[in-house]
Amino acid sequence: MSGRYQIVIKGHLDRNWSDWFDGLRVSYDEQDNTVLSGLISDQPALYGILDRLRDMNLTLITVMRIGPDTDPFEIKEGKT
Amino acid sequence: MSEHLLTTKLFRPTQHALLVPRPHLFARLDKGKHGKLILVSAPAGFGKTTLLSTWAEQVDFPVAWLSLDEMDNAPAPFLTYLVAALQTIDPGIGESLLPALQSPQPPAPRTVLPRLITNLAGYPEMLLVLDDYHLITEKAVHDILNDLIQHMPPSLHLVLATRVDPPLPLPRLRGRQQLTELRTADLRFSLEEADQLLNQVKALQISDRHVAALTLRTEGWITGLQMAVLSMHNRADVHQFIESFTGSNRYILDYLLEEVLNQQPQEIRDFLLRTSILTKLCSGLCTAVTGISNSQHMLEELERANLFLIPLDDHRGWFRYHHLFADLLRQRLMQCNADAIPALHMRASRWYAANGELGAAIEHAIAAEAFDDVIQLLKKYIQFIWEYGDQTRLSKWLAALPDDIIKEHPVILAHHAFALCYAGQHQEAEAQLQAAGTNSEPFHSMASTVRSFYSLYSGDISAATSFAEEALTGLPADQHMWRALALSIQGDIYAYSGRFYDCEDIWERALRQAETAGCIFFALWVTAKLVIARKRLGKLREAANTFEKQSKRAKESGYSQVSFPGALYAVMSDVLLEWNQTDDAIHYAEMGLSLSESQNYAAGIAWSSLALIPASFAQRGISGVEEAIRQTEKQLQEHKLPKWTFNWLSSWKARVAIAQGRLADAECILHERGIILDGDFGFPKEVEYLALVRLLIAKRQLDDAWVLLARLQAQLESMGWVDKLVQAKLLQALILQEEGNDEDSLDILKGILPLAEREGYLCVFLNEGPPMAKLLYKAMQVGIAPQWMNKLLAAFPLVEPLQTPQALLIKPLSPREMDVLAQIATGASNQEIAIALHIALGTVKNHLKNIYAKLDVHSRTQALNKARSLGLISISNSP
Repeated sequence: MSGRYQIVIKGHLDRNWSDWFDGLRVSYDEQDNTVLSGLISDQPALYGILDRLRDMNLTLITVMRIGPDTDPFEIKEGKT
Repeated sequence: MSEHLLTTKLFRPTQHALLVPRPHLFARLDKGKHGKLILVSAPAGFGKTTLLSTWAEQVDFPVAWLSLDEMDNAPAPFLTYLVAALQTIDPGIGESLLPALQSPQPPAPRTVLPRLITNLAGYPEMLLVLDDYHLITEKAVHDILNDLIQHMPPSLHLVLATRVDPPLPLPRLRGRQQLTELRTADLRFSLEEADQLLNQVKALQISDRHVAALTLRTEGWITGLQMAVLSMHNRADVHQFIESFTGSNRYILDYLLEEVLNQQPQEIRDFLLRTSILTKLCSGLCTAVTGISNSQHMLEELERANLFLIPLDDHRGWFRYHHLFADLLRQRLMQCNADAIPALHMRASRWYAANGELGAAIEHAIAAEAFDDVIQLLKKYIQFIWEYGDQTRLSKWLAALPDDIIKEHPVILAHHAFALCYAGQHQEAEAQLQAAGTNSEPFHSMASTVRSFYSLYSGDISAATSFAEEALTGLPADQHMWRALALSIQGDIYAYSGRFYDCEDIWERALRQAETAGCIFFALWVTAKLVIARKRLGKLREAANTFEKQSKRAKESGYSQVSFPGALYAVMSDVLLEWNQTDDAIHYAEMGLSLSESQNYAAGIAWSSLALIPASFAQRGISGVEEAIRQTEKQLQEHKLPKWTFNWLSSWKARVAIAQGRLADAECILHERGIILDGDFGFPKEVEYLALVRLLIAKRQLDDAWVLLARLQAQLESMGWVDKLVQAKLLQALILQEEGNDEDSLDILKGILPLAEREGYLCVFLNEGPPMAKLLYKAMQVGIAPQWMNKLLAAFPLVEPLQTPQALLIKPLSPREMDVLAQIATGASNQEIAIALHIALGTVKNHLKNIYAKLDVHSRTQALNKARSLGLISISNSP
């Protein structure tokens, strides 16, 4: 049961953290919070990513499931 | 090789760096130590381990420490390490539990916990710290902890350090003031503490403004502050650094790690990054992975420089990185040199394999995705699955392998299926066999073995038979363990079919195979079966020898008695009882029971409970046997015991009823079981039919008894059930004696004598009571094996066997009474005695009455026996 997710965390995480989070795309919003987005294969994989965020003591702001119709790249690109 | 307990997990991490003292937190912990649970719940890097470790160092309770890891996520490993940790306080805690927990069939938590809790009750107060509890995700383990907390002995106080609130009844504990919590807010460094760290401990001379800025930026996150300190080490422009750092929005650890790494010489940087893949570090392993020869020096340097290296023992042998630090390094390694990672894992894997830690070797090989190496290592690992069936790890590793690779090595799947089977997961075992998708040999025969195992277990004898035959035909000669298993199952099938000669032979072969395979645990299992077989075949001495020999072998290989299968003691109890070694028999049966219960082995429990019945009877008569019968019925309610338990139980219940004269009850018991005069035999109903014979004798239906007995004897003979045959023959002899046919009766006795004497049969005679004593006495009189008869007679109890023994008051016989006794010994009648002693007949009768009272007997025969055993008359005083 895969899904497209968007996870917003507080603070600026470098792009090269993408691999650590299963290849999710790293982008930023207006407050320079980090947005991780992309396809997550199933719930265990999602919780795996959340656990890794927790282990880094990164603060979760939102976790959103985006429907397959929505292109995550259209949402709030923000600063690069 | 055995996967020894990792003592590093039990080592309380000690810090040598200068630390900021946190007395207010110590105070809260000191108060909390009197409650049930202290919970320290905060994300990584808030100093939980440091806090608890420094507190434990000076607290006035003894402290047991357990650093949990993912492998502890199953009941048996978790309990194993829990007990091991407590044993660092006192080796006596839960002593008998460890071997059982580490065996291939570990006991269920619900049998282990109560024993541990009871055990702990006797100890003074202590603390148990479980570090990294967030790594426990399995409900089964949470349940164990829940149970422990609910039934916590007052002497135990639990401390959990975790990144995630555990699913325990925290609200309830809070409500009852049994919980002390230290949470993130409590653990953050305050301004004062940050100031202490920066200016006093590290003497960096940071201004108040900057202390505040750093504290704000890191939000009091201790690891963040420590990393900041490291970054400022030897830096000229501390002011500049702080301004840049606090002005940035970048993830602070990322920022700081870069600073720290940039400051290190290349050699150290490389070392840090390369060793980040290791869960623990020692110099040999580090050298293998990094190629640096002075790894020990390097490690000690890193520890001195406070680069987040934590010692795992007190001789600087093993270390680990602080978890966060390791994660950061790994991420950095991934970022700058991802291609090198598999090779690093492979070096680690090879080092572990060469140093006898197969489990770690496999984990690194999997991380390297070097599947061929994984397969080779797994092939080695599965050899040990018979001894230490840690099936959960194997399941996890197999799940990490691609399907097409596993399919090329179906033998591994066969082993996995067996481990699952042994753990009671029959359906999963079958699923594994199906997943192999092949019928090639030797996989096919191994699969047949597994299938015959669980078929037998679920009672499908015909399926078990055909699978066992398939297995034995196809298994190669060098697959010793598999052959041992298949042979053992085949033996079980023979036993169910009442073919005891075949059992002995095949179990003997199974034992040899198990020994060749070096599998001691299984060898002991088969030994128990072999002992039963030999006992049934009337080979008592050989049975005992087998037991002694195999026990000795096991102990010499380091196996302790508490790891022996309980069933082994139960069957030995039966042998000892035949020799009338009652106390030993009871001791063995009780040991068998307690071991079987902790091993959660139903057949062992059944066997031990049943063995206690005749043993209690021999020791304490009727009241003893009634108690033992009650206990067995209780066991039947609590456990799912094998069906044959009922056969033996009902035969004993009937026997007791007959002995007490409750013939109608006995009839009822046997009737309900379908045991009727013309009924069919079939193992193990024969024991119940023997009881029916006794009933018929008691009802004086001697003809019916005779006919049934003849049929029964033929059956027992064909089965090879010699020890029941002895009993049957004795009953036959007693029937003849009852009918006045002494000659034929003695002939039968003569027939079984060679065997009885050679094997030391005793109890089977004693159980028949006074009529048997009478017969034996007659035999002695006509010169049939007089010494053996004498020995048997001397063993007869001084009271009716079926009555409760009373304290014997032996008042000495008067000289006149002694004369009368001497006369009785010549076989004189009362009249003849009166004449010989010149006394009146009434006087003779009076004397007899007194003699009987003093000797506490009820008949001439008994009086003579007792007098002989007391040495009052010599044996040769017989006409």
